[in-house]
Amino acid sequence: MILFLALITGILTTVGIFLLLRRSLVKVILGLAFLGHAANLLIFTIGRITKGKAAFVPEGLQSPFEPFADPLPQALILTAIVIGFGVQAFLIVLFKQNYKSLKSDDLDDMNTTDML
Amino acid sequence: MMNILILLPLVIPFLGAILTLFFREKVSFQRGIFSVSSGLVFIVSLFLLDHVFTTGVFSVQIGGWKAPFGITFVVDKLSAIMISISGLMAFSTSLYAFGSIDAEREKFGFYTLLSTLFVGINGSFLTGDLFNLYVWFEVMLMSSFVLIALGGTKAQLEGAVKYVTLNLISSLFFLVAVGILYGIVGTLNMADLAVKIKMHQDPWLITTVALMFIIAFGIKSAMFPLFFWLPASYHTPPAVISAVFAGMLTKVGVYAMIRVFTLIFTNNPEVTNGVLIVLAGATMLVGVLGAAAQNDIRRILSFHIVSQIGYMIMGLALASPLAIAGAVFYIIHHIIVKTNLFLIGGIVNEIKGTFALNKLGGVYKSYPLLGLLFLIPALSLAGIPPLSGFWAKFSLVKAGFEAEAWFITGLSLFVSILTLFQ
Amino acid sequence: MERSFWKDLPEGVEDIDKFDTFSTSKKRYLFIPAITLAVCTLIIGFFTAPFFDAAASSASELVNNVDYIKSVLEGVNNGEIYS
Repeated sequence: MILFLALITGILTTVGIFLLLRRSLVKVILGLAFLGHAANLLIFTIGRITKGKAAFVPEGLQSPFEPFADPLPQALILTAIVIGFGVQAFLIVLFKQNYKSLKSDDLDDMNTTDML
Repeated sequence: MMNILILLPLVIPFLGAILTLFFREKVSFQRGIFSVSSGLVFIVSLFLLDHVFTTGVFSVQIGGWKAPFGITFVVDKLSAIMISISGLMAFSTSLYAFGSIDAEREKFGFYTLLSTLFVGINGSFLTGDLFNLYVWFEVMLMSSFVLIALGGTKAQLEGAVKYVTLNLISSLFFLVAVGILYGIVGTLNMADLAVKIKMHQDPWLITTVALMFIIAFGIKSAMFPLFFWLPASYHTPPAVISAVFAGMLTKVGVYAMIRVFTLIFTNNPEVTNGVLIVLAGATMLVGVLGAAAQNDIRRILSFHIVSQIGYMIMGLALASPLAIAGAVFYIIHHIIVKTNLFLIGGIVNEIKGTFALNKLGGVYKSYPLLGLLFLIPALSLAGIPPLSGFWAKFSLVKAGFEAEAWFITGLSLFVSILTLFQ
Repeated sequence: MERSFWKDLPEGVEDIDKFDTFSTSKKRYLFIPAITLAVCTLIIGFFTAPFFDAAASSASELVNNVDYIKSVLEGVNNGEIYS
């Protein structure tokens, strides 16, 4: 399972970087989304996967039975997903506005701010 | 009592941000709320500063959860200093904004965004938890994304695209590094990390993660070779926004780097400091050479930020108490001076209607006082004694000689001479 | 950047001067922060000692981070939760 998830993380990262290096702005958005998913999956995998053992404390005890799934990485991912979602929405609007004013989605045309 | 005081630098601007949302059409209310809230933060930060310097470090566990499990907020001397400077900057830029920002931007939530920006900045200075630092970074970045694009001129949108993309990549590196560190050590509380990493049996594994943190914070603080987004975007928004960004945002990255590399990753200093010192030297040189070729006032200043970041990183990399003191003093001096220069550049633009050097001239002849006002921060930036920049550079150079790091010290002297010529 | 202040106006460029069109309050808002920060620079430059001492003591706190760790993990290290 861990091997499978590691492979998926690798593939998502590859796809993300490949898309980021394209010249089209839409692909940049998609690339960032893929990289974000890869990061989340990486945290999920690296937090050690334990199947079917939620970290609930049974009544009358001080701690859950070993082994239990570590809840912290999941909390981290949840936060990161929410943040990533907001950023994605903003990115789409920003890139659309940029396309409207520039009349092009080619990154090579975006050099007017770098003129001397 | 102190528990409440430590949270006020976050709560006050956040409440201010919410209040300004209620008065969307009444700009004068928004102005009042923002200047009062930033003034209050400055006063609170002075209390914090006083408390820290008399009684030492103190911390708050949010929600009463004991340290490695809950989120911790810590105020030590460095964060108290940074909070008070951020309060001062918030207040002075708020005044400047009243005079220079246009009504359109004010109506579309300029003060709300500026408030949340300072919430994020203050949160990054106060937190004692690595993932929480990521969250505050995101709060700060999100407001800065909207601020840099607010107004929607063509140049701004273009600059914003570059700024947003590069900073998102930096956040992803940060997130991945935090995740891997948790996988290795099993905690995210900075103090707890410091204890556990000292006892960890595989220092090279930790060093690998440390290098990922250098990449993440390196993009954020515009270090060579990851600085190129800064001069491409910082000159596009109005002068107030540029001034806040130039003063505070990159320094948050430097602060995070100082915090992480003095507290957490101290187990393999030859490698991390070695990498940092090479990058610091390159950052100084590239920044100052880039500035020489520019025509727009704000682009020159942007390249100077890059160059100055190199000095701060150099102080961190030399890692002696004097060098780090020099870096901290450099940050204090740099935030004030750089913000001031952007504000004065903005005044020149307001008067003459342009930032381009080849369309400007004779400003001193018609406004000698403005010239004098400009001369103070400009000479301080170049490091002329007895202005603040001189003392900052002097302590760094002295630390460099004490550490017998001849090459980097010589380079820093050479770069400061180059700065003088601009 | 000094060039914009001390060189002459380049030829063929119209000299714009909008200063007189500013209202008094606008002038005040523009100049007060710039002057305040310039005064801060001068203060830090001429009375460096307290500021540098603050930086130095914060640096010594950073280099010797026992206080920081103690403050955060206070009472936890001795307790049974954390070993």
